[in-house]
Amino acid sequence: MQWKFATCKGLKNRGQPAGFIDKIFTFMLRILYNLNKNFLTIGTGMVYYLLRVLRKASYLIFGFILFFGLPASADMPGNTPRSDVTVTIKNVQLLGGYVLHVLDYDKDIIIAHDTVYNIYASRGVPHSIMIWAVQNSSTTDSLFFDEFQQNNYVVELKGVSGKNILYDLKQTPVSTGDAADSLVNGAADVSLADIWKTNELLIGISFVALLGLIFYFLWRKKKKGKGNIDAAL
Amino acid sequence: MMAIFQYLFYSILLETPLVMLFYRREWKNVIPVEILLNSFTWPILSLLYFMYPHSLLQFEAGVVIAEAAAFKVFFEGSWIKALLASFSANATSLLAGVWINHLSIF
Repeated sequence: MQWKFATCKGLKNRGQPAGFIDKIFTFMLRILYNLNKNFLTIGTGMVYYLLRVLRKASYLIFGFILFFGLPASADMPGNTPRSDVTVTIKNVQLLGGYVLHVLDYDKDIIIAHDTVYNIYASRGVPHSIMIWAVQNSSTTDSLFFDEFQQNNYVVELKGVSGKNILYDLKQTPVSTGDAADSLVNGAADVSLADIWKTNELLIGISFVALLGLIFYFLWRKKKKGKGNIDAAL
Repeated sequence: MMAIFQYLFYSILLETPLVMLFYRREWKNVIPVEILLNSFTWPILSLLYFMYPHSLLQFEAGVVIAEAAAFKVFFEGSWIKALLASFSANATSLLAGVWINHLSIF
Protein backbone atom coordinates (compact mmCIF):
# COMPACT_ATOMS: atom_id res chain seq x y z
CA MET A 1 0.00 0.00 0.00
CA GLN A 2 1.38 3.39 -0.96
CA TRP A 3 0.84 6.27 1.40
CA LYS A 4 0.26 9.53 -0.36
CA PHE A 5 -0.20 12.54 1.86
CA ALA A 6 -1.76 14.69 -0.78
CA THR A 7 -3.05 18.07 0.23
CA CYS A 8 -6.70 17.87 1.14
CA LYS A 9 -8.41 20.97 -0.09
CA GLY A 10 -11.23 20.65 2.35
CA LEU A 11 -8.88 20.43 5.28
CA LYS A 12 -6.92 23.62 4.78
CA ASN A 13 -7.02 26.14 7.58
CA ARG A 14 -9.18 29.13 6.93
CA GLY A 15 -6.75 31.86 7.84
CA GLN A 16 -6.38 30.70 11.44
CA PRO A 17 -3.43 28.94 13.00
CA ALA A 18 -4.32 25.33 13.77
CA GLY A 19 -4.45 24.36 17.43
CA PHE A 20 -3.02 21.17 18.86
CA ILE A 21 -6.34 19.29 18.85
CA ASP A 22 -7.03 20.57 15.34
CA LYS A 23 -3.71 19.15 14.18
CA ILE A 24 -4.52 15.72 15.59
CA PHE A 25 -7.90 15.67 13.85
CA THR A 26 -6.40 16.97 10.62
CA PHE A 27 -3.76 14.23 10.71
CA MET A 28 -6.41 11.54 11.23
CA LEU A 29 -8.58 13.03 8.51
CA ARG A 30 -5.68 13.08 6.04
CA ILE A 31 -5.02 9.39 6.59
CA LEU A 32 -8.69 8.57 6.11
CA TYR A 33 -8.95 10.89 3.09
CA ASN A 34 -6.10 9.02 1.39
CA LEU A 35 -7.45 5.65 2.42
CA ASN A 36 -10.83 6.60 1.05
CA LYS A 37 -9.34 7.91 -2.17
CA ASN A 38 -7.36 4.74 -2.79
CA PHE A 39 -9.74 2.18 -1.37
CA LEU A 40 -13.17 3.71 -1.65
CA THR A 41 -15.40 2.06 0.92
CA ILE A 42 -18.52 3.13 2.71
CA GLY A 43 -16.85 2.50 6.09
CA THR A 44 -13.86 4.80 5.61
CA GLY A 45 -16.09 7.39 3.99
CA MET A 46 -18.46 7.39 6.94
CA VAL A 47 -15.64 7.60 9.47
CA TYR A 48 -14.12 10.43 7.42
CA TYR A 49 -17.29 12.52 7.54
CA LEU A 50 -17.90 11.64 11.19
CA LEU A 51 -14.41 12.88 12.05
CA ARG A 52 -15.02 16.09 10.12
CA VAL A 53 -18.05 16.74 12.28
CA LEU A 54 -16.19 15.76 15.43
CA ARG A 55 -13.32 18.05 14.51
CA LYS A 56 -15.63 21.04 14.58
CA ALA A 57 -16.94 20.03 17.98
CA SER A 58 -13.60 18.80 19.34
CA TYR A 59 -13.05 21.58 21.88
CA LEU A 60 -16.60 21.14 23.13
CA ILE A 61 -16.12 17.38 23.55
CA PHE A 62 -12.74 17.68 25.27
CA GLY A 63 -14.12 20.39 27.54
CA PHE A 64 -17.07 18.21 28.43
CA ILE A 65 -14.84 15.25 29.27
CA LEU A 66 -12.57 17.41 31.39
CA PHE A 67 -15.14 19.39 33.35
CA PHE A 68 -17.95 16.86 33.67
CA GLY A 69 -16.26 13.47 33.34
CA LEU A 70 -13.69 13.89 36.08
CA PRO A 71 -15.91 15.27 38.88
CA ALA A 72 -18.43 12.53 38.10
CA SER A 73 -15.66 9.95 38.68
CA ALA A 74 -16.64 8.41 35.38
CA ASP A 75 -15.16 5.03 34.52
CA MET A 76 -14.63 4.07 38.14
CA PRO A 77 -16.43 1.15 39.71
CA GLY A 78 -18.20 2.24 42.85
CA ASN A 79 -18.13 5.94 42.02
CA THR A 80 -18.21 6.85 45.71
CA PRO A 81 -15.39 6.89 48.24
CA ARG A 82 -15.44 3.73 50.34
CA SER A 83 -14.14 3.00 53.83
CA ASP A 84 -11.32 0.65 54.71
CA VAL A 85 -12.18 -2.81 55.99
CA THR A 86 -10.33 -5.18 58.30
CA VAL A 87 -9.75 -8.91 58.09
CA THR A 88 -9.15 -10.29 61.58
CA ILE A 89 -7.36 -13.63 61.33
CA LYS A 90 -7.59 -15.76 64.49
CA ASN A 91 -6.10 -19.12 65.56
CA VAL A 92 -3.22 -19.17 63.07
CA GLN A 93 -1.49 -21.76 65.28
CA LEU A 94 -4.26 -24.28 64.46
CA LEU A 95 -2.91 -24.56 60.92
CA GLY A 96 -0.11 -26.79 62.25
CA GLY A 97 2.79 -27.00 59.82
CA TYR A 98 1.10 -24.82 57.23
CA VAL A 99 2.34 -21.28 56.66
CA LEU A 100 -0.34 -18.69 56.00
CA HIS A 101 0.25 -16.27 53.10
CA VAL A 102 -1.53 -13.04 52.17
CA LEU A 103 -1.16 -11.66 48.65
CA ASP A 104 -1.90 -7.94 48.56
CA TYR A 105 -1.32 -6.64 45.01
CA ASP A 106 2.16 -8.00 44.32
CA LYS A 107 3.22 -8.29 47.99
CA ASP A 108 3.33 -11.79 49.44
CA ILE A 109 3.11 -11.47 53.23
CA ILE A 110 3.54 -14.36 55.66
CA ILE A 111 1.19 -14.33 58.64
CA ALA A 112 2.75 -16.09 61.62
CA HIS A 113 0.42 -14.87 64.42
CA ASP A 114 -3.16 -13.75 64.87
CA THR A 115 -3.44 -10.55 62.87
CA VAL A 116 -5.79 -7.72 62.01
CA TYR A 117 -5.14 -7.03 58.34
CA ASN A 118 -6.29 -3.71 56.94
CA ILE A 119 -7.58 -3.52 53.36
CA TYR A 120 -7.51 0.15 52.54
CA ALA A 121 -10.20 1.51 50.26
CA SER A 122 -8.99 2.08 46.71
CA ARG A 123 -11.76 4.49 45.62
CA GLY A 124 -11.50 2.81 42.23
CA VAL A 125 -10.95 -0.79 41.27
CA PRO A 126 -11.81 -2.83 44.41
CA HIS A 127 -8.78 -3.60 46.53
CA SER A 128 -8.72 -7.33 47.25
CA ILE A 129 -6.42 -9.74 49.05
CA MET A 130 -5.91 -13.48 48.68
CA ILE A 131 -5.16 -15.80 51.62
CA TRP A 132 -3.83 -19.33 51.35
CA ALA A 133 -1.63 -21.78 53.26
CA VAL A 134 1.45 -23.70 52.16
CA GLN A 135 3.23 -26.73 53.59
CA ASN A 136 6.25 -27.89 51.57
CA SER A 137 4.78 -28.46 48.09
CA SER A 138 1.19 -28.71 49.32
CA THR A 139 -0.95 -25.62 48.76
CA THR A 140 -4.51 -25.03 49.91
CA ASP A 141 -7.27 -23.32 47.98
CA SER A 142 -7.43 -19.56 48.40
CA LEU A 143 -9.79 -17.24 50.25
CA PHE A 144 -10.55 -13.82 48.80
CA PHE A 145 -11.55 -10.66 50.63
CA ASP A 146 -12.09 -7.16 49.30
CA GLU A 147 -13.35 -3.81 50.50
CA PHE A 148 -16.07 -3.47 47.86
CA GLN A 149 -18.74 -5.16 50.03
CA GLN A 150 -17.87 -2.79 52.90
CA ASN A 151 -17.78 -5.53 55.54
CA ASN A 152 -15.24 -6.19 58.25
CA TYR A 153 -14.32 -9.87 58.35
CA VAL A 154 -13.36 -12.13 61.26
CA VAL A 155 -11.79 -15.39 60.09
CA GLU A 156 -11.49 -18.01 62.84
CA LEU A 157 -9.20 -20.71 61.49
CA LYS A 158 -9.84 -24.30 62.50
CA GLY A 159 -7.21 -26.22 60.55
CA VAL A 160 -6.57 -27.67 57.11
CA SER A 161 -8.40 -30.58 55.54
CA GLY A 162 -7.05 -31.81 52.20
CA LYS A 163 -6.84 -28.73 50.02
CA ASN A 164 -9.24 -26.64 52.08
CA ILE A 165 -8.68 -24.25 54.93
CA LEU A 166 -11.35 -24.87 57.56
CA TYR A 167 -12.65 -21.65 59.08
CA ASP A 168 -15.62 -19.75 60.46
CA LEU A 169 -16.38 -16.39 58.89
CA LYS A 170 -18.17 -13.48 60.52
CA GLN A 171 -18.99 -10.31 58.64
CA THR A 172 -20.06 -7.00 60.10
CA PRO A 173 -20.84 -3.93 58.02
CA VAL A 174 -18.35 -1.11 58.25
CA SER A 175 -19.72 1.80 60.25
CA THR A 176 -20.46 4.96 58.32
CA GLY A 177 -18.04 7.83 58.25
CA ASP A 178 -14.52 8.20 57.00
CA ALA A 179 -11.98 5.50 56.50
CA ALA A 180 -10.47 5.88 59.95
CA ASP A 181 -13.69 4.59 61.57
CA SER A 182 -13.01 1.05 60.51
CA LEU A 183 -9.56 0.88 61.96
CA VAL A 184 -8.68 -1.09 65.00
CA ASN A 185 -5.75 0.63 66.57
CA GLY A 186 -4.25 4.06 66.77
CA ALA A 187 -1.01 3.21 64.99
CA ALA A 188 -2.82 2.03 61.89
CA ASP A 189 -5.05 5.10 62.12
CA VAL A 190 -2.05 7.41 61.88
CA SER A 191 -0.50 5.39 59.06
CA LEU A 192 -3.70 5.42 56.99
CA ALA A 193 -4.21 9.12 57.54
CA ASP A 194 -0.64 9.63 56.33
CA ILE A 195 -1.30 7.59 53.18
CA TRP A 196 -4.31 9.68 52.24
CA LYS A 197 -2.59 12.91 53.19
CA THR A 198 0.26 11.98 50.85
CA ASN A 199 -2.15 10.99 48.08
CA GLU A 200 -4.03 14.25 48.36
CA LEU A 201 -0.78 16.18 48.37
CA LEU A 202 0.37 14.35 45.22
CA ILE A 203 -2.91 15.08 43.45
CA GLY A 204 -2.70 18.72 44.56
CA ILE A 205 0.86 19.17 43.26
CA SER A 206 -0.05 17.54 39.98
CA PHE A 207 -3.11 19.74 39.53
CA VAL A 208 -1.20 22.95 40.33
CA ALA A 209 1.57 21.92 37.90
CA LEU A 210 -1.00 21.30 35.17
CA LEU A 211 -2.50 24.73 35.76
CA GLY A 212 1.02 26.16 35.67
CA LEU A 213 1.67 24.49 32.31
CA ILE A 214 -1.56 25.85 30.86
CA PHE A 215 -0.83 29.37 32.08
CA TYR A 216 2.76 29.20 30.85
CA PHE A 217 1.55 28.04 27.44
CA LEU A 218 -1.00 30.85 27.21
CA TRP A 219 1.51 33.41 28.44
CA ARG A 220 4.06 32.35 25.81
CA LYS A 221 1.43 32.40 23.10
CA LYS A 222 0.40 35.92 24.09
CA LYS A 223 4.04 37.03 24.24
CA LYS A 224 4.73 35.59 20.78
CA GLY A 225 1.63 37.30 19.40
CA LYS A 226 2.77 40.66 20.74
CA GLY A 227 6.25 40.08 19.30
CA ASN A 228 4.82 39.45 15.86
CA ILE A 229 2.83 42.70 15.89
CA ASP A 230 5.92 44.65 16.95
CA ALA A 231 7.91 43.08 14.14
CA ALA A 232 5.22 43.89 11.60
CA LEU A 233 5.07 47.49 12.73
CA MET B 1 6.31 11.84 54.23
CA MET B 2 8.18 14.65 52.53
CA ALA B 3 11.08 12.28 51.87
CA ILE B 4 9.36 10.90 48.78
CA PHE B 5 9.52 14.29 47.11
CA GLN B 6 13.28 14.08 46.95
CA TYR B 7 12.75 11.72 43.99
CA LEU B 8 10.79 14.38 42.14
CA PHE B 9 13.73 16.70 42.67
CA TYR B 10 16.17 14.06 41.36
CA SER B 11 13.95 13.47 38.30
CA ILE B 12 13.94 17.17 37.46
CA LEU B 13 17.70 17.38 37.98
CA LEU B 14 18.34 14.41 35.70
CA GLU B 15 15.81 15.06 32.97
CA THR B 16 16.18 18.82 32.44
CA PRO B 17 19.77 18.75 31.05
CA LEU B 18 18.89 15.83 28.79
CA VAL B 19 15.89 17.63 27.31
CA MET B 20 18.03 20.75 26.98
CA LEU B 21 20.37 18.78 24.74
CA PHE B 22 17.49 18.09 22.38
CA TYR B 23 16.14 21.65 22.43
CA ARG B 24 19.34 23.66 22.74
CA ARG B 25 17.92 26.77 21.06
CA GLU B 26 15.04 26.90 23.52
CA TRP B 27 16.99 25.92 26.63
CA LYS B 28 15.54 28.78 28.64
CA ASN B 29 12.05 27.47 28.05
CA VAL B 30 13.06 23.91 28.84
CA ILE B 31 13.67 24.72 32.51
CA PRO B 32 10.16 25.91 33.50
CA VAL B 33 8.46 23.39 31.21
CA GLU B 34 10.47 20.48 32.63
CA ILE B 35 9.85 21.56 36.24
CA LEU B 36 6.11 21.91 35.64
CA LEU B 37 5.85 18.80 33.50
CA ASN B 38 7.66 16.62 36.02
CA SER B 39 5.61 18.11 38.84
CA PHE B 40 2.54 17.08 36.85
CA THR B 41 3.53 13.57 35.77
CA TRP B 42 5.62 12.37 38.73
CA PRO B 43 2.86 12.59 41.40
CA ILE B 44 0.39 10.81 39.10
CA LEU B 45 2.93 8.10 38.31
CA SER B 46 3.73 7.60 42.00
CA LEU B 47 0.07 7.48 42.95
CA LEU B 48 -0.86 4.99 40.25
CA TYR B 49 2.20 2.84 40.87
CA PHE B 50 1.39 2.42 44.55
CA MET B 51 -2.35 1.95 44.04
CA TYR B 52 -2.60 -0.34 41.04
CA PRO B 53 -0.85 -3.63 40.34
CA HIS B 54 0.63 -2.78 36.97
CA SER B 55 4.29 -2.75 36.09
CA LEU B 56 6.33 0.41 36.33
CA LEU B 57 7.09 0.18 32.61
CA GLN B 58 3.42 0.48 31.69
CA PHE B 59 3.03 3.67 33.71
CA GLU B 60 6.33 5.02 32.43
CA ALA B 61 5.22 4.45 28.82
CA GLY B 62 2.23 6.68 29.51
CA VAL B 63 4.51 9.34 30.97
CA VAL B 64 6.78 9.20 27.89
CA ILE B 65 3.82 9.78 25.57
CA ALA B 66 2.36 12.57 27.73
CA GLU B 67 5.70 14.37 28.00
CA ALA B 68 6.39 13.95 24.28
CA ALA B 69 3.03 15.58 23.53
CA ALA B 70 3.94 18.44 25.85
CA PHE B 71 7.36 18.88 24.19
CA LYS B 72 5.65 19.01 20.79
CA VAL B 73 3.29 21.70 22.07
CA PHE B 74 5.92 23.80 23.85
CA PHE B 75 8.99 23.43 21.65
CA GLU B 76 9.71 23.55 17.95
CA GLY B 77 10.48 20.19 16.36
CA SER B 78 8.97 17.01 15.06
CA TRP B 79 7.03 14.34 16.92
CA ILE B 80 9.98 11.98 16.58
CA LYS B 81 12.27 14.49 18.23
CA ALA B 82 9.77 15.01 21.04
CA LEU B 83 9.39 11.26 21.55
CA LEU B 84 13.14 10.74 21.51
CA ALA B 85 13.71 13.52 24.03
CA SER B 86 10.97 12.24 26.29
CA PHE B 87 12.10 8.62 25.98
CA SER B 88 15.75 9.30 26.74
CA ALA B 89 14.96 11.61 29.66
CA ASN B 90 12.46 9.24 31.23
CA ALA B 91 14.53 6.14 30.58
CA THR B 92 17.45 7.76 32.40
CA SER B 93 15.39 8.80 35.40
CA LEU B 94 13.62 5.42 35.48
CA LEU B 95 16.88 3.51 35.49
CA ALA B 96 18.26 5.82 38.17
CA GLY B 97 15.10 5.29 40.24
CA VAL B 98 15.28 1.53 39.82
CA TRP B 99 18.92 1.59 40.85
CA ILE B 100 18.34 3.80 43.91
CA ASN B 101 15.18 2.09 45.16
CA HIS B 102 15.80 -1.48 43.95
CA LEU B 103 12.40 -1.42 42.25
CA SER B 104 11.23 -3.93 39.70
CA ILE B 105 10.54 -2.55 36.23
CA PHE B 106 8.28 -5.42 35.26
